[in-house]
Amino acid sequence: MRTSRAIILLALLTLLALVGTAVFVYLPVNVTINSVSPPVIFQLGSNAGGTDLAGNIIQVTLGPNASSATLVLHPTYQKTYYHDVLQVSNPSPPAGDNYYIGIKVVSPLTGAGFSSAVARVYDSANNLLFTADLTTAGTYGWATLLPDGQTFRIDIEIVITEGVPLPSGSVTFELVYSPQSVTPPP
Amino acid sequence: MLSRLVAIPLIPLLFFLPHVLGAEFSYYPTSLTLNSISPPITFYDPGVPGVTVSLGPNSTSASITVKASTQPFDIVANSDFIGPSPWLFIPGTDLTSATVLPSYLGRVGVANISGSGSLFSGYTDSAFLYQQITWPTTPILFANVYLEACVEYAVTSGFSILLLDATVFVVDANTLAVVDSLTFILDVGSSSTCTWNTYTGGLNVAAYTPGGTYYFLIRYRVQSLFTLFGGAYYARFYTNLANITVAPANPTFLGIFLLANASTGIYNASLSLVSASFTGNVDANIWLRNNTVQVQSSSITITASSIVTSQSSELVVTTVPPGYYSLEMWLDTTISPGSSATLNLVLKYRIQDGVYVEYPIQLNIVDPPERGGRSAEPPGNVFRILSIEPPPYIDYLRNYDA
Repeated sequence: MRTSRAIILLALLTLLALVGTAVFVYLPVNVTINSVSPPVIFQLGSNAGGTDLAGNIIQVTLGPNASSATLVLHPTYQKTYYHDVLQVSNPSPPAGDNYYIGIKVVSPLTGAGFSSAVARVYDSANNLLFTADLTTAGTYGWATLLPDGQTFRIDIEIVITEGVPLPSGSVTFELVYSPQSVTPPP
Repeated sequence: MLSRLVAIPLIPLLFFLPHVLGAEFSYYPTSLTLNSISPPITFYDPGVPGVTVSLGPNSTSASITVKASTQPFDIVANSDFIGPSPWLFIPGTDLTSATVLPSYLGRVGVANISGSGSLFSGYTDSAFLYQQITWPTTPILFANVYLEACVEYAVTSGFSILLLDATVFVVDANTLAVVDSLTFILDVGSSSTCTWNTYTGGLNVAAYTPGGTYYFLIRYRVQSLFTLFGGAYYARFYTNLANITVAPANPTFLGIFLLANASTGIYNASLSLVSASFTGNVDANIWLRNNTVQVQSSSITITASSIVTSQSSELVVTTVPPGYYSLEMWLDTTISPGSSATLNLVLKYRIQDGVYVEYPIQLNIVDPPERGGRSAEPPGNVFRILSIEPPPYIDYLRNYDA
């Protein structure tokens, strides 16, 4: 009799313990999302659409809201340098908003035979701000200030060493920007 | 007490809260695709004696060794008409054809100027071969002209006595003054078979400006000394060699050290001197030349082993007819005995302002052994000597008699 009571009591206490730990508290949070026009945009460089080597075209295409870009280039052996093919702009209006930018290489350049590939970012005074290595994943140039009303240009430099079959490849990178510079982008 | 217990954990939370709320990032994706292509401009060995060229596996780099020498050397490009011709042709009224033959009568590389016409008393007609040359910057002890030529002609009707001659002119390209002229009688009479002869004469070296630009012209002329009741003729002038040989006071080299050809497109090209090392005393000028239009760039200049100018001006580079080259790279250097230099150059070409390509060139200048003789490589094609806008003064030279 005493044993059965003890067992029942033990079972009740166990059940109580399990019930007691499954406690949830719900705090309501209202989130309102008001999207805005992109304050930083891509622009076609002055040589986008120009003549590339061997009768090709320097192909640069922007997304419908200038927040993405696609480039197709046709380099050859040794060093091929593409000048001002893409631009990053912080147009004014709105005035007074400054942003910090960097380039994050997500999928590095594929294709054997490319000995180097870099993107160079210059300000309007032709000062080199930073260089992004397109063959290595990572974030480059963070946090470079893009002041209100300023536009930076992006050049691409490709080096193909002689003696290898002419390579083809692709790289995906992101322009990352933020109104703050303290926290690096994830 | 309770308020302190609540406040203490809240303080760091308040400190970090703004940063967490302010760490907003936007990411714009960009994709870059690279589809590489065959090089539109490639290097070629000029085959010049004393110049050893090693090209990269895709002919977009080169390592060259140039042997400076005190041996007399030729300052006329392709003076033996072997290989692509920088020679230009100015036709006459009847002497209107100019070609280069792979061989003729035992000679390899022969230029042929020919034509036919009606004869009358006082008839004269002339045609020219010419090219632009650069006088060496180094002191020259003496200079000689060598012309190896022969002529075939016949009076096909009527009776005429013809005089056929060749005159070599050197004309200042800036002032258009005739600096030197030498006339050689090739044959006179009524008919002839072609017999090779070498005609030679000395130039007045004191009249030449070191580094100056000149036109080197060969005028072939037919004159009727006597024609009875009219007639007709044909004439064929053959040239196997037309050069100016100069003897330098110091080890020197003047000539083409590298060629480049464009297979497609139009470019602006220039040469840059990136770095250099010297032993002893070296003077050098390096420039680009587009021989099809007789245009050359400004020079990279080295004086007493110091770099004075490290960049040439740009030249337009285009595709050219078979047998020619889009671009010549020239070197004029004088070194003290035992001196040497290693020059790291870059050929840079661009399309407008959008795309630039750079090819590395290493140029080594060394002291003798002596340069070799003429190249014996036979040409593969018969090709026509280009005819473009003639230099000024040409009508005057048609009737010039020294």
